[in-house]
Amino acid sequence: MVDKKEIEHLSDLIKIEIKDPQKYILQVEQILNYFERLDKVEITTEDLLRQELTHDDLREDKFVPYGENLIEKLKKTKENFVRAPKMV
Amino acid sequence: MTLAISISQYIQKLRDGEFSSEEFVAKTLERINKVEKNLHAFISINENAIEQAKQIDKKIKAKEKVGSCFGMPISIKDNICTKGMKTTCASKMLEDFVAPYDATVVSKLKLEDAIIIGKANLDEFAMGSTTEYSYFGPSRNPWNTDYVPGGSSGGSGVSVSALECIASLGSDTGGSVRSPASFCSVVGLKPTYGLISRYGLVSFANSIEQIGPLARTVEDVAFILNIIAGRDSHDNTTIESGAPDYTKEIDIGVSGKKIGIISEMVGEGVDKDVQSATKHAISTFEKLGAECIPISLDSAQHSVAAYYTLASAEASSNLARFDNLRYGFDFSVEGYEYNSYISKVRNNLGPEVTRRMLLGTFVLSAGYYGKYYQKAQKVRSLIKSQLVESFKKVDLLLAPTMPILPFKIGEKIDDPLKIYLLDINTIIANLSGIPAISVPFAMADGLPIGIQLFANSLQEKQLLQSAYALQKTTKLPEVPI
Repeated sequence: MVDKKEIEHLSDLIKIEIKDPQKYILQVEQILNYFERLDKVEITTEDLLRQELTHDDLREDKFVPYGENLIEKLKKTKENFVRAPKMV
Repeated sequence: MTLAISISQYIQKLRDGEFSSEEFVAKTLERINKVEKNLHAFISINENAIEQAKQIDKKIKAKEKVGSCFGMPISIKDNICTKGMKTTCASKMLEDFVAPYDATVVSKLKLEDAIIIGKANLDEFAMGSTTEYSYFGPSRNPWNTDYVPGGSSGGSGVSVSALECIASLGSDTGGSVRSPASFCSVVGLKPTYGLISRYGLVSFANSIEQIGPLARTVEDVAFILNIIAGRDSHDNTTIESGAPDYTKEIDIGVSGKKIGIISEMVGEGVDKDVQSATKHAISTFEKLGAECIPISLDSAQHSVAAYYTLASAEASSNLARFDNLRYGFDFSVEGYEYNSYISKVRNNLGPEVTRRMLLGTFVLSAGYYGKYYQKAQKVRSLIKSQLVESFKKVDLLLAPTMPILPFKIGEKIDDPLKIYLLDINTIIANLSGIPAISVPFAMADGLPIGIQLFANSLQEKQLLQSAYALQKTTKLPEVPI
């Protein structure tokens, strides 16, 4: 079910360069085969577990300033800028 | 001075002037220096610990108001943010990350004058059950250093067991507090979902995980829970608990309680020593006046598949934020375009994290979503409703924490599914949100066995009382290291 192409496609989606896709093929396939059992469980309910919050539970939406220390330890190259690779 | 004391003993001895916080912390650091090369419970040590202890001693001497922890040393799993100290998640991706703020649990402990003695080792991003997936190398079981300490909060379990601190905070997503508690012979609690704030816990699977205390006694766990539980405006999933005192009436006993033994967790696939310890625990509870009856929870057999589907899905989304640009290791962006840079640096994530991201992305992808993710959510509901039904018949549920004894480091590392299946007895608490505790109960071949109790949501008090009753009947050896 899982082949090299599938692993390469997934690694492209999660943006991880996987040097040795072969290593993951068997393990991922074995685990997905185990997950197959979910498909066989008979479930009559459509209910899903959820936690509901009312508006009263939410904190007041107010601006709380953070200090400079929040960005103190960032990998900054120039002044307060973080350098990112070019997008195109 | 012995380090093998409980929290209440620490407080009493400190008040009696038997030692100061500085002396106790210094002795703890000495101990850490001595045993760490064999155990590797810590990723980093608080270099200011002695200075902080001195400050607390000063307050005590001046009869100023002192927090209830009186300068006791506590370790914190390294995926919980500690201001000014590294929080690495045992990953190369965060090896230089210094948290700019304290997690709510850490603020609460500091407010009570606890000393954060160090940051405990874990599986990378808390993904694992043995602590072997730490980028910084595995922790070792103090009962036999060739063996795994459980995980993912392995460093927390080891540090408490090996007297490198008085208590620890771990996080439990699928059993990550209870597994090392069981394998290292300490007490570990996974509280009700929402009882403890997750603010400052680096996210892995938000709808499942909780922070939980590990300590050498049930009373100590109750003491820490008193401090860290409660609603937090920084975490909207926290719930109102009525703030009971978990230490009060802890010795009330189990007389008249009904305990359900989960049939699916005590039979096939369970090691024979673990089985006989479980039988002994059941007869112990009966002697203490509880009634034990078998309870079937057939949905539990699907819990591992449902859990790893959901947890991987949440992980694959949560870990998308790590790009090595703001924090991380030294790797210049020069010469790369965005996608190739991110792919290149993320190649430094460990094999288990990569595996979970692959799985999580797969189960969420078009065509497979209904088959895996949605079905897993329904199984999760089914488990919850079967548990709700069970708690109409019994007050507590019982099962061994781990189906097998601790095993050798490296023994299962090439078989991830085998490692996932170790969580078979712990996961139901995470998927349903109910609390569970692991209590050290027996030894086999020099290795610890823990017994696990579950209670209905927000019934921590009852859970701790029953765990205390069981603990009182045990006489376990001292840690051999």
